[in-house]
Amino acid sequence: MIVADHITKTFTTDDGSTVRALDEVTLSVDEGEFVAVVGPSGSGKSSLLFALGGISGPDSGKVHLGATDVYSLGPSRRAALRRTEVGFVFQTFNLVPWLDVVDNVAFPAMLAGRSRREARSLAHGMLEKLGMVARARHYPAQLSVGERQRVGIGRALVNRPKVLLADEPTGSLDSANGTQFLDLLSEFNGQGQTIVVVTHSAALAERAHRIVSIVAGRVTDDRPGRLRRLAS
Amino acid sequence: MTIMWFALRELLSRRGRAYGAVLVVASAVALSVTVELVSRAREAAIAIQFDAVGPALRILPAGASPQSIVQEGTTSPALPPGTVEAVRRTAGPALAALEQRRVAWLPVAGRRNLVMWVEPTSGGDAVLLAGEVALGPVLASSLGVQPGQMVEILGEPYRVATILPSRADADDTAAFLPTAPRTRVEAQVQPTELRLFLRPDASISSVASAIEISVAGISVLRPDRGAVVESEAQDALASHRHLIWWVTGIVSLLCLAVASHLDAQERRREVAMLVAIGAAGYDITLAGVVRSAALGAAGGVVGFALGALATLALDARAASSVLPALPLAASAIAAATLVGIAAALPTGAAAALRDPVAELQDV
Ligand SMILES: Nc1ncnc2c1ncn2[C@@H]1O[C@H](COP(=O)(O)OP(=O)(O)OP(=O)(O)O)[C@@H](O)[C@H]1O
Ligand SMILES: [Mg+2]
Repeated sequence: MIVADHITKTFTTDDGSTVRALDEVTLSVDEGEFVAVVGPSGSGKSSLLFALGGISGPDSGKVHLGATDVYSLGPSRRAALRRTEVGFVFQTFNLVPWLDVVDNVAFPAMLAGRSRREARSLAHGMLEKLGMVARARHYPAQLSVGERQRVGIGRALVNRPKVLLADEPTGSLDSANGTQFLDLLSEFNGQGQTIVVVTHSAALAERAHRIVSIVAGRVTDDRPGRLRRLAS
Repeated sequence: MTIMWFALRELLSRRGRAYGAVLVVASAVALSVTVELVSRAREAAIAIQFDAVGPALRILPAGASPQSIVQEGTTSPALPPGTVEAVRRTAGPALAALEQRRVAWLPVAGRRNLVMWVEPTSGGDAVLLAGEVALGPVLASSLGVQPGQMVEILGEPYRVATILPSRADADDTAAFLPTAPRTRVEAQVQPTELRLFLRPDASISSVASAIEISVAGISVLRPDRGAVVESEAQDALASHRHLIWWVTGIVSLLCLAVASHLDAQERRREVAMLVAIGAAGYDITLAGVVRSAALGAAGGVVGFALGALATLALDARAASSVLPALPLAASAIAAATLVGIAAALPTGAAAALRDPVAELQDV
């Protein structure tokens, strides 16, 4: 489904020194798989996620999403791919404060060319799955952080992307909300959604099929999580 | 479409921030519109005054036909006895307008010059007797005459009664003749004095041609309504109104450009989010441009309204020039919108090109 093949990413900071955020990372995520990426701060987890999601290309190596070589696409084709094939969830939600919950969820669908009506009805369907229909007309500022992150997931999934990428989605949530959120991810995963989630929390990582550890830009460990163990 | 909707929704929800930019554009447009409307109103008012004056009288033998009497041209300061009555008899009440004319371009000592008729009793001025003339200082020195000497005007000799002190206006180049008592007519309306002002250094012919092109710089004194005196500054303002349009346009452009630049800085996160959920570079640019264009357009609308109000407050005559100025309103709003678009294009494009990763790091 999604394959990173020897990707390397180097940043040059203002003082001229270089940071190798990703160092020959090779990673393959199967369809329907739920992968957690863990590692210390600065180890390259976000960089990996951005590379997988078509946001920021590696200096060398390739990323394939399905049969598509992501970074051989031009900018607008790649934008279209981000729009329809990838869903992103962020630690701080990044909802649009001046749009209500339905419009926030509907927005990527509208960007993908659907009418506002269509997009809103898709969004409503999404909110039903998230148990957020009652809050449809509310604005992000009126929601609890846990609810905001659900909206974030709704927005990420409204275009039915092949893969959901989440960068520390529980980082802003308390443990109860974090657990709920993980339940939600598991639920979507149970319906076949491919998920890659970056997390600091070992406990949350255990809920995945696979736990990939990254240290200093290299994959140092790749082992099954509790879910896989239970399933097998 | 979607991105326009997105940008406009934001404008509506974050009004506070938009007010500043709208206000800048609105003030610029208001200034331009006011200058434009006041200028137009003044031109229109002066044109109306001219129209009301009617053609000049011409010296003719008593009993001449009305066609030859009522003719564009010059008139003698001292009409032959009975002329007015003869004209009245033949031309009837239509002459009321003719009789209001108190000024003409006349050849004085071989040059066309401004001549004004003054009532011998007119307030405060030195009384001129029949056969006397008062000269503005510029005219006197160009003629090389002293008080007491004779000058020839329209073939008639006049004694220079006085050389007026300089007033640094058109009077300096004018000759003042008394209205002969026998030529005074009972006007059916209040007499209206039309005074043509020119700069002391202006040549008469340049002023004459300037008047044909534009009536800016002409003042109208209306004794019945009080003096409407236009200052030199207003004249300058009026005659440079295209410059004002350009300057305010550029000022608005800069203000909006700065606003959208600050905006883009502030929105780096929003842009990063848009990129992450799949907006193309084109969308990012468009979002900034739509916002700025809407601000510009709003500034145009508000500015035109403010300008129209300011015009009315400044100049009551302009009331009639506000409504016919709707094409002006349309072009002001269109110009403000274009300025908005132009202001946001560079920053919008730059925002679209920026790598979103840095912003997404702490997202
Ligand atoms: N835009 C950038 N410019 C310079 N260096 C960067 C940039 N983005 C990331 N880095 C560096 O690359 C390395 C990996 O960063 P990354 O954000 O991928 O780590 P992370 O594992 O997500 O960290 P965290 O857990 O703190 O989010 C870090 O050392 C970071 O400082
Ligand atoms: Mg990170």
